[in-house]
Amino acid sequence: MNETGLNIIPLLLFIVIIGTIVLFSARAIGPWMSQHISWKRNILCAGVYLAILIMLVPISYLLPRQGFMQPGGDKSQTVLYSPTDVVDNFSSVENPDQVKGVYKNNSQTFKLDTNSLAFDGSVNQGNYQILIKRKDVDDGEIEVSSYTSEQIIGDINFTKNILPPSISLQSGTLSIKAPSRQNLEFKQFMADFTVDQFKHLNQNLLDNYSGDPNWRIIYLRVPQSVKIHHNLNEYNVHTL
Amino acid sequence: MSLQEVSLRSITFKQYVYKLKGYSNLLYGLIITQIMGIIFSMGGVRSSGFGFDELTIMVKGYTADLVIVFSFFWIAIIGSTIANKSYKNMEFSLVANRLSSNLSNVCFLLTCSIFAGITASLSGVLLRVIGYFTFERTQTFFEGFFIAPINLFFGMFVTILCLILLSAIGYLGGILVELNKSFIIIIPVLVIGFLRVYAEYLVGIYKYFSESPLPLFTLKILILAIILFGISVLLSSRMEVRK
Repeated sequence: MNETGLNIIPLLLFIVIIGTIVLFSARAIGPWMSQHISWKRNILCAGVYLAILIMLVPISYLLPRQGFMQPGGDKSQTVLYSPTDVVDNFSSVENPDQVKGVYKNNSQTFKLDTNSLAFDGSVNQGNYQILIKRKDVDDGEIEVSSYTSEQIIGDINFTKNILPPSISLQSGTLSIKAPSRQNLEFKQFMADFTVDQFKHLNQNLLDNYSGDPNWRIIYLRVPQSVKIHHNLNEYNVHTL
Repeated sequence: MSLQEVSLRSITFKQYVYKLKGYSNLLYGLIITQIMGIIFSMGGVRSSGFGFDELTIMVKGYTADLVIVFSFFWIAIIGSTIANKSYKNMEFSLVANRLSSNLSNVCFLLTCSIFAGITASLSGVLLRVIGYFTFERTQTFFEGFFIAPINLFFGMFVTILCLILLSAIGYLGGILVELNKSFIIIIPVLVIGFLRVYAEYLVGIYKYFSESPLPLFTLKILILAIILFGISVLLSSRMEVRK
């Protein structure tokens, strides 16, 4: 895990360069402007600029507030599990959706054309815990669901933005492919430093991150009599 | 010699109005600077993030900080500009003395500070409105998007105070340069040298102002600005008429 912060030196350099450009352009354009543009027009332009900015204040309050990332995450729902706890929690409930602090982000059903199930090497990639539960019937279908831990920044739950792995079944072999590296970029409007230095309104929302991205659950419901083949290297495969 | 007596106040006011008209083209510089600040701010002025195996989370922060800092530069430049010879020569078409000239300059700088402070703080609203229509709202935090009116006025007030102080610094710099051209080199060298060698003192100065409650902050800024303007007036009165 790494954090990046604001680098002040390039910003200062950038500001100085811009300031110099503005200074020299003002010196160059200024005399021409004072000769060709009347003071009335100057004041009018400044007035229009100010009026536009003032008008934007009521307009901004009238903008619909739907669609934003609104607070709604309940941190008490965020439970950090160890792999052992994960197995215990999922085995203790009949319906895995009842487990606290997890979110189902994908669900698929595959027809099993053999009476055995194996996993390819991809199951050891990523942070997957594979939980297998046998059904009471032999219906020849494997139900695969993937779960992720709740991801909350501040009060905002963004678990739904987490991509599920792609899962496929071929000739009785289940393949789980982690999604390609996902970059989530959020935007936060903050108070200006002139306000923040007194009111301390700005907070780094990432300081309030809660969740554990280091585990994902693949929950399989397999027919009762299906044979499961997995070797000891697949330490993350558990039968419930 | 005129038989009509004129008061300092009336002559200062006339000069102030004259300068408002005469220097009004300087406002274009502010508008252009602020628009540039807004454009650059659209890329985000702060960012923080972290990454794991399959996931990188980044939060980009948007504020009008850059617009405010650009406005600080503008007012400092304006402060030094109106103290220079070419601008002073404009005054000789009016009945004036050194004091009225300086007072009208101070009034002009205060007006500029108020205008720049209001527009710089309001540019934060413009930034949000642009963001509303250009950013994916599902990836934008609601928190902080709408500025409370009280915070908007608060920001304007503090920005105006900072601008007044910087205009006083700029004006003093301009007067010093008029007194002796060698200050064109000495001032930047002093500033850069101070920044490099005594950076911790600068942090101390910053804390001296920023860690005070608002009334004390206001008092500190105003007293310092009055002192700086006062020094400028005193130094300026020692100049020859056409200098």
